[in-house]
Amino acid sequence: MSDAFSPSRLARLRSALRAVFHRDGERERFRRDLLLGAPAGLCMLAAIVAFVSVALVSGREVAAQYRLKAWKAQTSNDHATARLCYERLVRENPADKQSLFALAQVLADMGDAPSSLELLDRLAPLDETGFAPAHLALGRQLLAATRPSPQSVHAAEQHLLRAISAQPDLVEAQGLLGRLYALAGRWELAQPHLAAALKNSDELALLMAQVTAARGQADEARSYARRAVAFWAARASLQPTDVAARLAWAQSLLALDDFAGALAVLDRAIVAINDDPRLRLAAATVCAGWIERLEKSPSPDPASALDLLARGLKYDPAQPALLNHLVALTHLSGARSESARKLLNDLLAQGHESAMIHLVLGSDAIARGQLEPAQIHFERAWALDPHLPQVANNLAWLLAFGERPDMARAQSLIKVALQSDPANPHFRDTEGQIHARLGQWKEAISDLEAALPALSDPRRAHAALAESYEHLGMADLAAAHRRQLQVLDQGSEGVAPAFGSGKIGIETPATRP
Amino acid sequence: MTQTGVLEQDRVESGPPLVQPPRRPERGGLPVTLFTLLVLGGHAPLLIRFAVRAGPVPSYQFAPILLLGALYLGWERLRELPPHHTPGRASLLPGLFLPALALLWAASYLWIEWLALVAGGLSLCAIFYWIGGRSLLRHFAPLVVLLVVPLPPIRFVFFFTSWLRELAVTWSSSLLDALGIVHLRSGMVLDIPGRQLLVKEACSGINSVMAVIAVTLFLGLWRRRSPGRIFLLILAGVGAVILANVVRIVGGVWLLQRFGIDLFSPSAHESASFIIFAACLLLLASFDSLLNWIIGRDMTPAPPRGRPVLSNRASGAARRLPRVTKGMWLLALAYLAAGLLQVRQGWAAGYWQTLWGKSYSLRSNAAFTVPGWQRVFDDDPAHHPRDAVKSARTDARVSLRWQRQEGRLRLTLALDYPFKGYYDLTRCYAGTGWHIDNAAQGSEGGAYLQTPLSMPDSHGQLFFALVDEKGNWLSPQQYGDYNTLAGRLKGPRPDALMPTYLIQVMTESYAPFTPEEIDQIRQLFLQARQHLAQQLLQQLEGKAP
Repeated sequence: MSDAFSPSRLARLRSALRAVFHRDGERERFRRDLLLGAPAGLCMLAAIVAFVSVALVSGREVAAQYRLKAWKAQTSNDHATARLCYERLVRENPADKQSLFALAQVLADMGDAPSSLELLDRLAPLDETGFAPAHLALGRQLLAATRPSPQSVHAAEQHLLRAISAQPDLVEAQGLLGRLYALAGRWELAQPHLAAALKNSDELALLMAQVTAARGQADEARSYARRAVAFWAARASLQPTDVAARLAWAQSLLALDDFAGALAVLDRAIVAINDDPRLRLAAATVCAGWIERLEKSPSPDPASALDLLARGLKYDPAQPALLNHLVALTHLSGARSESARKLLNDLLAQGHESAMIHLVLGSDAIARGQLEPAQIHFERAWALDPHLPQVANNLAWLLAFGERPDMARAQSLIKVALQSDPANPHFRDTEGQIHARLGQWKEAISDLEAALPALSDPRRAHAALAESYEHLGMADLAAAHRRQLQVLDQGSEGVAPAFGSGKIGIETPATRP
Repeated sequence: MTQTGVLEQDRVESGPPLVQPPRRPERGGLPVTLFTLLVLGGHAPLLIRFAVRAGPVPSYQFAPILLLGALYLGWERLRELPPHHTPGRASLLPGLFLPALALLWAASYLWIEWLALVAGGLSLCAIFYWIGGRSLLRHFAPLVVLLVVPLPPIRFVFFFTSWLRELAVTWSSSLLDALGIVHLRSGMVLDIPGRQLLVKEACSGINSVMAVIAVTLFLGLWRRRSPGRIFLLILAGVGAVILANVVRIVGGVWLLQRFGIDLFSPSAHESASFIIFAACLLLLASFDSLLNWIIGRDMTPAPPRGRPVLSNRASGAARRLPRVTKGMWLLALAYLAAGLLQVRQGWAAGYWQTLWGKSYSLRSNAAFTVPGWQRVFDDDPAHHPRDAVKSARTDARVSLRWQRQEGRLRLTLALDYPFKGYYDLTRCYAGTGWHIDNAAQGSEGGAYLQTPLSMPDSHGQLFFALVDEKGNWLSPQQYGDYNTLAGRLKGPRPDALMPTYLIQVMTESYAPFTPEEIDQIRQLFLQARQHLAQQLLQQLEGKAP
């Protein structure tokens, strides 16, 4: 070690360095310049190499590179990189609609829905045919809303039509348009689009079966239903936890009137897929449909219907259609009525308390003139589910016209009911009667006139209108309503007006067509 | 042994020097000094203003070092003063002094600092010729070149550096493509995944180009390189700066993307600037050697050196100082008058009054709120990727920003200050890649400019206005001519340097804007600027809080 740094070695090194840098003479100077100028020369060489390599890369190669990177980033959920790549592609070629569309998709994935929509609108304006996938995406988006407005549905239809006109083989657009028409009951328009969509997949065979059935093509309907059963059965076996596939399979079997098969599918699914509530509701609905079918059969089988009712209520004790059947049974006389009532009480006793059961029992109590128990049931139903406008309406009616009137609460309850369904004639009738009871004649007339055309038993409405017009000094109109009342009374001689024409059963917005 | 060898030996060793200082002052030395001081003093006000204006500009931050270099070069040249020189021919003096004087008067009247610098250079040349004839002029000409050439007009420097910056960004972008690094270039902005790099900041190494030119010039003159060689070296210096910055940008992006190493953070940024500057100088030295290797050595031999003197009787040399004639005194008075004119012009423009202290009157604790708008900050992680907050950056010292969502419109409101006179905001947007479409001037409630912007994939709407401390809204027509010759010929404007405040509303979208949307943006801009202007005027110093 010490030898390495010995004075003689250091001296030799010093002299070597001096030889490199300080040797006189043209040749040495030439060498030294070369040595010192080498970094600059190398830098220039590197710059030239870089320049040539940059010049050799074509714009097309760069675009292909970016497209590949964008795709990779998109598949690995690296949205920021994907967005940048597509923006670059669009910047280089603003006419590249594929990249613009992909950019819109990435922006949507990043949660920037407004920017995504801006791009889609640019690609697919409503008033002209643009980029087909963008039209499809817009149509899909518009129909994805929970309750699309008529304007949205119309816009979606236009977009889908433009998508198909630009690219007729766009199966999803055909399917969506077929579905849109089918939901609107425009069967003849739906059928060709669904047929086009079915060329690729049997996913829409069930809808096609329903459309053809609605058009009276029974054989085609059964054929499509069979295709749907096969498709969904295969899907369910491939994806055993796919609830939607099981539901569609059961529905397809229903299209073949195979209630037992549908219930069997749902029973197996309930066991397999951890008791999914959607499956229970579907099973209860199948039971309700089966009961309906039994009731309509030439030789009704009340015992089987009651068994099915009990089975259905085990799946879902609040299924509205089943409860409606139960209400109908309670209105009958004799043993079946008692059985139905017992079934409801048993459900409550077994802990299956629900607002719907209380609503049914309350309605039954009113029908039997038992106002006190009715009010208890409605109060309980309201406490369990303050979003049921029917309960609010019935309770408001009882509070206004019962033995211990509470007009203020009745008014607030009917307002709640009207907030959820402002055009419901029963609710308007109830509100009108309350206004009349409070002497608010103008408001009463406004509500009752609106409700009148849709009421099945308008006798109390006519009576209240006659009274209101009389108080407002409009004797002619009051007389006219009294005449109508007389005509109705004569037509239903011996039938007492129902307790509150505004009282309704357990129909819910969900069950209304 | 040559004479040079003797002189150097004499200077270094303890023996008696060959060149002796005069024992008593030369007659005529005082008038010559006084004349020179008067001539140079005539340039002083505008040169002071030039120094004050250029001081904060990064491209001029090398100026003190340049002055030191000039002093050193002057000292060197003084030591190598030729032994024989005689004053220049009197008949040529008007031809040298009068153009310089005319230039100075023009600079004084038009209030153009750089012209005064050029006039100063010419005047120095004239003085050198007057004192020592052609030989003295040639001897000191490099000094004049060193003092004038690296200090071009501020506006030229802005254009030159922004051109270089654009070149660096373009080349960086191409190189990033060749390396397969994902990025998006918008003007001077480079977008990389999750990060936006404003090359204005990331690449301030470009600012060192003027320093590199100055250093190259100094070294070239000091090492007595030929003008052609100096020119080649300057070209190489500019090239080295651009290449170094390309390497810096590309390397920075690569390191950031590949290893997460951030070379664009403020601390790393400063160090990188110094390293780049040093690397450029080393490359220049290397390039000089390379030129030596390729085209041979290029150096004029230095004349013999002695102690700096103006006359040297001991050496037997005939050095005679010129006589200051009446005409020369008149000339000196004309220079002095030009200096006084500069003082007067500066006073009329309100310049000297604002030379010291704060240049604007808004209180430092001023606070602003705009109803319906939400204040945002640049480093807010909640920013949307397409927020215009970052792109709407100006050169202002203070910048406050708000945002608002109106339907699909995401609007950014900004208040930037202080500026002096009118500020053309569209240049900032052009720098970030926007194409400026036809701007329209509006006048509801005061002048403002509506500028549609476009990019291949985006559209923008920019509304902006400038308000001064008297509450006047500035229009481009009113202030735009100040930078033209015709505008300057009208004389100084007291409001040209008045502090102004910029209010802008900017929004961008992938889809074009409808006329209704543009009108909506206009209304929001007008309401917001009214709020801001009211609060601004109420918070000026001297107003009750």
